[in-house]
Amino acid sequence: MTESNRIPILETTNLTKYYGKSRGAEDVSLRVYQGEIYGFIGPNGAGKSTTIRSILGLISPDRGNVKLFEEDALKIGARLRQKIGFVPSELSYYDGLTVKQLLKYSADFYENGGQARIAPYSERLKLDLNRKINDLSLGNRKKVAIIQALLHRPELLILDEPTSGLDPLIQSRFYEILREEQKRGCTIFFSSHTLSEVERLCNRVAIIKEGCIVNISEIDQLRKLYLKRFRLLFKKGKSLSEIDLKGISELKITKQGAEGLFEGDVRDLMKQLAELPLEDAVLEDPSLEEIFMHYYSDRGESL
Amino acid sequence: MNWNIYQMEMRRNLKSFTIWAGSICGILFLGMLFYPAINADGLLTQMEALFENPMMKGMLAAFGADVTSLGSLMGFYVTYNSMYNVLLGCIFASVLAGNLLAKEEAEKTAEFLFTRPVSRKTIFFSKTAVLYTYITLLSLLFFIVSVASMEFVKKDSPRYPEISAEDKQLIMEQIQNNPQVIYEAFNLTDDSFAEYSLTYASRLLSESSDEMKGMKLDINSMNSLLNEAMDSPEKFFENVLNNPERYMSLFSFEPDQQEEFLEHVRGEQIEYNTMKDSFFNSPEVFLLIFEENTSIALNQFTSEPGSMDKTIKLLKLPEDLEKRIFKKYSVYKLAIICTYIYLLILSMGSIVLLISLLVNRGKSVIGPTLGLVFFFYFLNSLSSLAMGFSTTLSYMGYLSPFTWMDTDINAPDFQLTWWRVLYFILISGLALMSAQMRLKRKDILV
Repeated sequence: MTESNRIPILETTNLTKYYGKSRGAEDVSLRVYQGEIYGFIGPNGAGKSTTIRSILGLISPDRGNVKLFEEDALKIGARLRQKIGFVPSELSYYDGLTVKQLLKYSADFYENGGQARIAPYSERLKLDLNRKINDLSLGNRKKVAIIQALLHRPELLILDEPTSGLDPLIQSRFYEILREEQKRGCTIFFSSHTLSEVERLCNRVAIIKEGCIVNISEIDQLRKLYLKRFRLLFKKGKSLSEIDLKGISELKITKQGAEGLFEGDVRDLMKQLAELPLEDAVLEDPSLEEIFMHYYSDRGESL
Repeated sequence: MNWNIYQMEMRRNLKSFTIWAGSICGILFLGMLFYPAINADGLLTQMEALFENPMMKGMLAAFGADVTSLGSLMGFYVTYNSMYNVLLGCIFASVLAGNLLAKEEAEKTAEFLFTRPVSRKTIFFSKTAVLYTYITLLSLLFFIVSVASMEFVKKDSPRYPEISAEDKQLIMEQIQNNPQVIYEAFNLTDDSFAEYSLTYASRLLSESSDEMKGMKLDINSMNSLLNEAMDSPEKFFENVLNNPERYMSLFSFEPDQQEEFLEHVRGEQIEYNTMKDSFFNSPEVFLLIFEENTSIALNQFTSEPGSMDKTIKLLKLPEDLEKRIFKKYSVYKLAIICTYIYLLILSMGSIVLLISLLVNRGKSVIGPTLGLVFFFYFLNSLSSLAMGFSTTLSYMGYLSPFTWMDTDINAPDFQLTWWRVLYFILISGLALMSAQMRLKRKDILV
């Protein structure tokens, strides 16, 4: 599909917000198209929440624009939020309500309420509907957050670090649900500080650093950056104290072997490795996390 | 207005409302139960005379309100009871108003609410509707409990006449038609004449206090003289004539003017006796007094048990007249004062709603808002206190909504005044508008 005939569901242009003198976000421009899962990556405090808050109308940006479903969200946000589901990162719900009461309360805000969907979703995520919200663990609260975002069958899901606190089984169910939602045509904006989950799900990612977007790229593109992880096993009694190869970084040497990242033409690496007294050598694709960390620490802007 | 938010907030605040409304109405009711004990042997009625002193009046007003008719059920209600409960009502309203919006931010639930598909304006007015509903409910309960408690203790209250213009005219006509029976119809004795004339004199005194100052007469000692004369005016004149020294200084007579003073006193004595004679002999004087202040006259001339029945029969008045005129309390006036209380609490709630949005996130809202309520309350008290000696100073009270209430419940023309009502509506409206503007622009940071 070409860019021109895809529908932009979420679009920010030069979004800028300062809290007094401290920067929240600066010139954040994003465009998320219909049906994609879009990763929004950055460490804590990088400006993810500021961007999300602006999109949802919780704060008004100093400069820039937010468009949702091709309409001006800063003007008619309330109406547009009918089609949005939001999973916040930190959760606080009204004391004294049971899970069921809260979910009903939430569902009643929407034209496409979806009270009937409360039971199936909670079964799937193993959530007890009759418990009081303030008795819930962080993980269970997160489930409440996820369900309330899904009930009204939103066309855009905004997830702010949705998986923290969920156990692996529930996490995988959650990913399963997200894929279903995507199939249904839902667009998903997924913010996270861990790349591995983004890697698993997302079609495209934006990386935000110190309030500014540093890179927007397709996941596959990121992977093609000729970064390889290598693991070496030395021959017995021939351990090396130093390995001098071109283009390697994050090198860790132990008595038995060494490991690190290599950037460049993989044939150069092979040639150099052939010179070494090795028992075994493993070359693999690094995780996105490693790619991200690699570029983020050395050369952020140029990525 | 969003029905969903409204219902949720109503439910969430129901418990707090029940506790507050229960306490306020309970205190109101129990407070009224004290009335028979406090007013035993007409103690409060006796105290009224003491409080005629304007300074004293101001002092007492600072702690409550009107003291002109302490002994009456209504006077007791306003002075001893309702004002504290009004303060409690205002505190409830500010706690509720503080919780409605600011607590969402403090407890981080704002992120949930403000990401729902409703505008801030809708959220604001739905929450305001909850505040107004509970204040309305509280005021209604307050009114009902007021009436119920009055009904409960009314047998111990002196009755107070409230004569409509038609009834007054009817009575006057019957008296003019039957002048010969009035002395039989009304319970007229030497004592009742003395009492009436002295009450009249004391009213003259308080109305002409400025003139008295010009004549270098001390109002307080004049009042104590009147009290001395209350038992028997005849004896009082004798006393003055026998021991003139004690009284001369009070009337600014020099010691060498004793003859002149005695001359004056004898003159007054003769005038009093002449008046008394004509009062008992010619209906014209009686009618004049009756016309002047029908309520007081009627009350005093029919104070004996059963005498009103006699009056009604002899003057051929309608049989239900006694019930019509003499009331222990007036539901109509209670409704008016409860309306003032309602308007006051509404405006306090609205002001607090505004303040709760101005306070920085995470800071306590209850602290500043309670402070404000108490500030207004005591500003009103101070201005009542100031009323005793400086009118200008007492105007500062108008900075406080409490002062804009009319608590002069025993005034014959006690009613809802349009400018007072307008004031409360304007204050509430302004506070709500500014609060809504503020919320519209506020960044919700959780």
